[in-house]
Amino acid sequence: MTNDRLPDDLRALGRELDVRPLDEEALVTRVVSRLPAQVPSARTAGVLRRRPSVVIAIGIAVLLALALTPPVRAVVTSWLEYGGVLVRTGPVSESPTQPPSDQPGLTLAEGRELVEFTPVVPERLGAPRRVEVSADRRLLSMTWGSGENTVRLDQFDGRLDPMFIKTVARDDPAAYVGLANSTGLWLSSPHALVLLDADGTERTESARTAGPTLVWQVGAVTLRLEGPGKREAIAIANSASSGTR
Amino acid sequence: MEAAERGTIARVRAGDRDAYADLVRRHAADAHRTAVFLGAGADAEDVVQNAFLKAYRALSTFRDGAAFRPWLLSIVANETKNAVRAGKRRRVDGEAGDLPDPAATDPAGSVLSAERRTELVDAVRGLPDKQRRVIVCRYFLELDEQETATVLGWPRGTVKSRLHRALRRLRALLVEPPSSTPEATP
Repeated sequence: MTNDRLPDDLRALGRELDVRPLDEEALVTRVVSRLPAQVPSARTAGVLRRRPSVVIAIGIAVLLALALTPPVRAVVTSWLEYGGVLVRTGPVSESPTQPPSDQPGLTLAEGRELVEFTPVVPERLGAPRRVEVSADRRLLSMTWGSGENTVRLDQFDGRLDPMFIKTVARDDPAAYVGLANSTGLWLSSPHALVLLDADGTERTESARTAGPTLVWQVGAVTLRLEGPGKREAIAIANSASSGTR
Repeated sequence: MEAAERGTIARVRAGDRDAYADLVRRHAADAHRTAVFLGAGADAEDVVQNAFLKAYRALSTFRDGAAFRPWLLSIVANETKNAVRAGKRRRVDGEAGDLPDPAATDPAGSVLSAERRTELVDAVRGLPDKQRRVIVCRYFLELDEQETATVLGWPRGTVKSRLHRALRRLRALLVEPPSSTPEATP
């Protein structure tokens, strides 16, 4: 039966996929001409290892900056990934707006212990009223205020697997906004929000409608701020000190 | 092959750039296939170039005697992720993963029917990201379990379990007549 042939068929398929041949000599020339003068013999790995991610972070910032014309340009694409937040267009149906609070409240110090990144607390907000860490310890959430005025800040290591999917209406796309030291992503309308587990599976029980949200990054950490209007959100983001180790 | 490669790496470490050129030549095609299958698309050549440059700089961390190819391909896999995450890919149809189409081959030269190729490629494209990556590594790049673990940066047990789930999902996606034969071992 075809089931039994699946592994072999997959291998055969792999051999038949169309891969444009690579000009190897051109590649060799490009690589060799760009090799650094420093010989890779000694254990200088500590410094060298850190540099590539800085280069990439700057690279992304440059790419985003190039995409901006003042004041703000809407992102015209059907799919965008920003620091572990995936934004796609699609139907946005009504659903409850409050996230289920199934984790115990913690102190900020306790929250810091549980996650593997250094959390960022924007100075403008001060100490949070409530801190929670997800069961898989990937997501740290802080809230200020209550009810209608709740401000919610989620944060996680944006270098790892994506954490959120936001679904926005087609005519209300996300837009890049300039921050003091970087570029953030602003979603101005309510949109569908769902959490992903480390495997990429959508946690359907987490699905809800999120209000206007600002997403930005501080070093390796991606932050998602929900509650304040755009101007205030930007001010809050600009008051966030570096969370890098 | 192993001993010759260790010698080459030793020469690179001593500053011999021609030796690195040899290393690049030897692994270029594999690196390129890896980048393409993991979704680099039109950026594959840049990804490969960047990966070789990073590998050179990181060579001091490369453990003597370890297998070079999976180590290199893990760097390629990371660079592919970076290229994709940088948002350079303007996704036209929201599809994650840019697996190329099967080449137009003479039907006599192909092991699979055109129908089977299409349904397989569609099914693999439809897998969640991590499941697709393990299928790509184990079957398209024909890496063994340990090599796959290195390239994807996962524990071996995770490779096993994700592969198992991926195959189960593929079987569910593919139109099958009911079968009473036991599940084949991947």
